[in-house]
Order: sequence, then structure tokens, then C-alpha cells
Amino acid sequence: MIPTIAEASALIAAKKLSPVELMRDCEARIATQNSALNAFILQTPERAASDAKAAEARQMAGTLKGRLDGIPIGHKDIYSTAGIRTTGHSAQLLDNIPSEDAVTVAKWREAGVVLMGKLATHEFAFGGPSFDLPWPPARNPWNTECFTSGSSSGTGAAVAAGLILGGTGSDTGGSIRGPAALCGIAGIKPTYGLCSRTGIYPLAQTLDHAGPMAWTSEDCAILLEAMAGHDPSDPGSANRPAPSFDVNQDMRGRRVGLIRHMHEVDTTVSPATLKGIEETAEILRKLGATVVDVTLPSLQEFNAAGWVTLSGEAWTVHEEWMRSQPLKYGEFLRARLALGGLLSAGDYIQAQRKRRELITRSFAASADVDLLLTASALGEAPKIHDVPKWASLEKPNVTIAFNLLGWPALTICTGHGEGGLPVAAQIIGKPWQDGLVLAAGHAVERENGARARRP
Amino acid sequence: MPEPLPPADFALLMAQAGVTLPPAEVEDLRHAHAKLRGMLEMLRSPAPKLVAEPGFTFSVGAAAQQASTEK
Repeated sequence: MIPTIAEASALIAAKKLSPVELMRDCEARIATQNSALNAFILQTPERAASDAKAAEARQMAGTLKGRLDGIPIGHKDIYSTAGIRTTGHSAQLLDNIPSEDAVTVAKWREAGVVLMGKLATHEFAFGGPSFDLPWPPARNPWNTECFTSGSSSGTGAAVAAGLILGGTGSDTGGSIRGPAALCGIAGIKPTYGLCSRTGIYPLAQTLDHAGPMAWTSEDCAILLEAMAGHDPSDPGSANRPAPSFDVNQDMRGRRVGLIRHMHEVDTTVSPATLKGIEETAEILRKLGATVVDVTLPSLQEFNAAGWVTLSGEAWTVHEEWMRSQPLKYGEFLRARLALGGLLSAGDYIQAQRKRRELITRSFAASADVDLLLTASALGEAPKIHDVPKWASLEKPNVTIAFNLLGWPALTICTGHGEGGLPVAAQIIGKPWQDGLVLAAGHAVERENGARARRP
Repeated sequence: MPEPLPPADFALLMAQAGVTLPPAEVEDLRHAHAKLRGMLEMLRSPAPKLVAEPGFTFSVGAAAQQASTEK
């Protein structure tokens, strides 16, 4: 049995589970499954062994640091790890060995995690799935012919398969929530400003969010608590006290806005996805919440402002290499970045005007609700070779809206579709209500039974 | 959705960006660019007055605005 982080930490605290044994269990699953999943692009067995031994020593001495002490994790390979290769899954950074940990990596290290290695990503969190990079793309553990979504593809696959109990992701247009949805796990894009991005390779400065992915919302809360907090070196980091999350908050009296138009009109989702959203609303109702329909601006408006913003900002990050050595990128990323280079300053400013308007309208439309509910992905994972290069331009996604707004948004698994692969819902909150969002996810997961099934 | 730009116009845009790509990728990008232009059209609606944007500190009078529109 693969424990959750909450279960493993309780067992470790009670001296009923050895961190070294827990690490060895993950190592054994990596040994048998990673060649099919491509979730890890670098394993760090010596580091894992030393981290686990240190945690075990603290366990024996009664000096455990907290709930993450001795928990096996992995980092998306855009997170800098001191002395450990960090490539962005790209030939551009093939030999990059950072001298410092990203701020969030350091926070987890201080909390006592066991680092199992670095995880696959779409190239620089934007280009994938790609087959022309130094490492192959991650595969979905529910069916290895299928896509994990991205860009936190390795984290999604590794958590779902139990190769790690949790890991880092980053989310600029849905890169935590997409893979969480298609791999059947939980993942939260926190409020903008809650987690430091220092030491994480940027994609789009005003949309990038760092956040955790794990099997359950409760585990995401444990991981997020340990990675949140003000960082003066990140201009986007908010100077607020570090949060403490209570996932057992009561849902009675809460008001939930169902953004039906997003998944029924602006785009359409699979029958199983729709059923999962309706069941999620029903569970929240049974727990005492009031569910009402809410109309936000259309996904088309959010996507237009979102993709112009993302493309323009990504171009500024990669402009130098795009001019000097474009062929070192994979084809998918090269093409997506080039598109950003074709935008004008006027295009970008128009997108920011639209963004401000969307924020104003969204706050007004959701003024009398605490939470929002819609889809997180359109359906089950497609075959990995069927993913179009320009999917985002052809059909609006249901995630980038909340990057533009900066509001916390959580993917939870709601069950499985006709193809036997996971389907998901997205629970969204107002800024700094990350704890309430996670509590709602935890409440639904306890009732919907989807956490009982592993790939 | 807008039509893709003519190849010569698109080549000029690529040159301005300073991007050189293999020919097959350029053609693919030309068609993707048309989809992006479709998104840009959605951003061209009149923006509301935004106090935080320096470009909105001067208001054109209603009469002048009407005269400008009639031209």
C-alpha cells in the first residue's frame, strides 16, 4: 500500500514506519516503473539515502522537524537544486548545476524531505509533449500510451504511480492543475504571491505560480504550508505571514458558485467530467454549503488575454537564445516561443487592459460566494501522439483564467471515465483563501471515493 | 478566424523579431499566427478608464471625440 503524506507522517511520528524503509519502497517502484513512465530525468539515490538516514536519526532521537520529515519527494526540473543538475528538460541547460537551491526547495529541505530526484517537465514548462529533447516525455501511469498533460508532467506521473508522495509543480496557464487532472491526483496553484519563484526557471513573470502536487488535497496542504511565505528576492512575493491550513474546516454556510458556462457553453467537457463536477457540487451541498450558478467572463476572453500575456512574457525570457541558438530547443517550444516574438508592444498592453477589466468583472460576479467550481480538464487523457502543437489556440482551456486572476485553484480527482482514466474538477477561491479551497477539496475527496483507486 | 498573412508579409514579421526557423516550421507558424490574431481581435474592444494606467490621464471631450469619429 502506498501511504499518503498525512498517513506516512503519522506513522513516522509514532515510530511505526522507518523513513529509510519508506524511501526504499519508493526506490523499488521507481526501479520497476520509471523506464515506462519517464517521470524522473535524474535520480539522486545517494542524496535520498542520506536524507532518509538523517530523518530516521531524528525519528529515533524524538527531534522530528514536522510532518514532512522523512517524506520522499521530487522536484520539477525547473526548480534549482544546489549541486544537482537542473535542465528545464532542455538541451539549452544540459550541463547546468546550480550553486543554490530555489527558495521553495530550501524550505522543503529544511522541513526534512527525502529528495528522490528531478522530474520531467515540458521543455521550460511550455514545450510539450516533445520527442526531440534529451529525455522523452513522461507517460501517464493509468495508460502509458496516454498524455500526462503538462507542464508538470513528471510530477503528475510520479505521484500517481507512488514513486514519490509529493512533488513540486509550476503553473502559468494550468501546468499544475492539468497534469493533476489527467494523472488523477491533487494539485494546487496557490494565490499569486504566496510562494516564492526565486530559483525557478521563469516562463511568464506575471502568471507563474509555484505549488505542490500530491495524492490528496490534505497532502497538498501539508506541502504548501511548508513552501509558502514571503521572499524579498521575488518581486511578486507578498509580504504576509506564512499560512497555517486547517483542512477540516466546516463547509456549512459556505457559498459555492458553479461556473457552469465555462464547462458547458464556452467549452464542452466529457460526460464523466460533467458528472464529476455535478457530484462535487452535490457533496458540498450535503455538507451544508449553498451552491448557486455564477457567470464570470467567458473563457474565450480569459484565453485571449492569457495567451497574449503568456506568449509575450515567455518571449522576453527566451529572446536571446531564440535569436542565437533556436535549434537547441525542441520544435514545440521553439514554435510557441516564436509566436510571442511576433506580438507588438500594443498587443501586450491591450492584453493587460483586458486583464484588469476581467479581474474587476470577476470580483463583482463572485462577490457573494466563497468558492467557485468548474472543470479542470476537458476529459480523460488523450493518446500522447494525438496532442496538437497548437491545442491552446484552438480550444480554450479552463485553467488560465485563474492565472490571470491570481486566485487559488485546486484540481481534485472526481472519478474515472469510460476509458478508465481519471477525470477531475477544479475548486477555486478568492485571494489568500488557499486553506478554504484545500478544505473543500479534502471534504469532497473523503466522500467521492476516488482516492481508493490507484493506477 | 483571420486569414494567414501572405508569406512575404509574414517573413518580414519574422525578420523583425529576429527569428530564423526551418522553412516547414515557418509555414506552420504562419497558420498558428492567424489563430493568435483571432485572439488579438478580442482584445481590441474599447478599454475602460483605468486609474492605474498613465495613458488615461487625459480625456478627449465628447464633441472632439464625435468629430473624430465622423471623419
